[in-house]
Amino acid sequence: MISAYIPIAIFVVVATGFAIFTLVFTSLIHPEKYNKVKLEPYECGIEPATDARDRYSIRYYLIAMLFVIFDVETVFMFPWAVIFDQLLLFGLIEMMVFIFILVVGYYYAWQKGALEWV
Amino acid sequence: MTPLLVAQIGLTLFVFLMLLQSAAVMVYFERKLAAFLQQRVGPTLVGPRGVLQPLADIIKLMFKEELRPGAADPLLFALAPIISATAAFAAFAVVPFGADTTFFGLLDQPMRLQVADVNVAILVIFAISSMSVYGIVLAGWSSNSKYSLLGGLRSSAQMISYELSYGLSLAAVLLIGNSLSLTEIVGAQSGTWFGFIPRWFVFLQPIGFVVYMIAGVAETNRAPFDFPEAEQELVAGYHTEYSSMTFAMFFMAEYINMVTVSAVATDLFLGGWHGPFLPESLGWIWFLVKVAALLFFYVWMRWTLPRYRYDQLMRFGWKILLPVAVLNLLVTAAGVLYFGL
Repeated sequence: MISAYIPIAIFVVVATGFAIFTLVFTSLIHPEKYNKVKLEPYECGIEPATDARDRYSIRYYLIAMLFVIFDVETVFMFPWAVIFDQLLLFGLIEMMVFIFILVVGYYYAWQKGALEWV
Repeated sequence: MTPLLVAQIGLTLFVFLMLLQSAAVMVYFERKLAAFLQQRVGPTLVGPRGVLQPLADIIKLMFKEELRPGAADPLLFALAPIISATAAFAAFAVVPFGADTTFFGLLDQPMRLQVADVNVAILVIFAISSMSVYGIVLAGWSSNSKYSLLGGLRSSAQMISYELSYGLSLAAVLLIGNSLSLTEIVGAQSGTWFGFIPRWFVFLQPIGFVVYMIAGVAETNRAPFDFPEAEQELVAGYHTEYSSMTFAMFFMAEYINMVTVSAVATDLFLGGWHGPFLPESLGWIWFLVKVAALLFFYVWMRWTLPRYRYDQLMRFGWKILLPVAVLNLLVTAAGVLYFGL
């Protein structure tokens, strides 16, 4: 069964090899005339005053945490969906209970304003 | 070297080259279509009707100076475009694009038109397409430019938000298809209802199809969800600091991701290579027609709809698309139970 995945690995190697080859090859043929201004980050013509890696909104972390919670749920649904024809009514009720618990958490997050961006 | 192995290697290389040139074709197609929609003529100078324009672009990009900001992280800066390109290519490896074929009797036994025939193709696509977010985040962070950082952050938040709806719309198809293998799901869509309606899952899953396409557009960062590279506010987003072929890698990855999303939508919802008039062995023509139609839709949307605002995008993803996808899943499950599909 594992042999079915070998073509994927070959594909990954070919794609990576192609990308590296192209980048190395072009780095040999293009001009290189650097100066200080060229090596500054783009800033609409103004000299950058601070480092770009500054603090940013906490909301990105919140979204990431919500994603982890709900994505695990999604992964759980894949095998359930595939064997649903054997689980039938039992499977449906069980999934409804599972989703109900998640909806409680989703409702809580919504009321807490975790889904608001501004 | 058995003939089957040779055919498999040939097919792998063929798919790789096709993906590579699909990006070039899409560039030309998009520019021509955009010009048509805006009553311009588009590229005309290079080659007949400008068909060689993408080639000229690539050659130009190869001879461009490659700049890297002095304060950038050299390793990650170089790694990001490679990750993006690899993830874009690899996701297509498990997409079947035609019925079993012997290549006009050249092979003793039929082989599948698919690079890797795995039984959990959907999971593989889901896993590999999630990897592409790494390329974007690393590009944004390593550049040490404010626009890049904001573009990369926005993009990652957007991609993970829409990945939930994406996964849930796939799960609803699995309920009807009863398999994680794309080949088997396409196989379940052969034939017709009442003799004239093709048994495509889009008719059983209209909401699932719409959710999939919206989430797919958001996943590939295309308009109206093209926030990572919103020109007016972020210059070019995560690839602001990239030039020459490193820029081309991101560009290519974006177009190949579009092709993959369209190809998976064709396999899951539009019956894959099944269609009227053509014999099964020529089904790949139908596959190409359907993928081209979806790609046309992509480009059409980009040049028609204005960009959303970022808070609208997040609200739409979390408060509308996610509940709709969950409800669609439950209704589908109840429907499968009631009608015994």
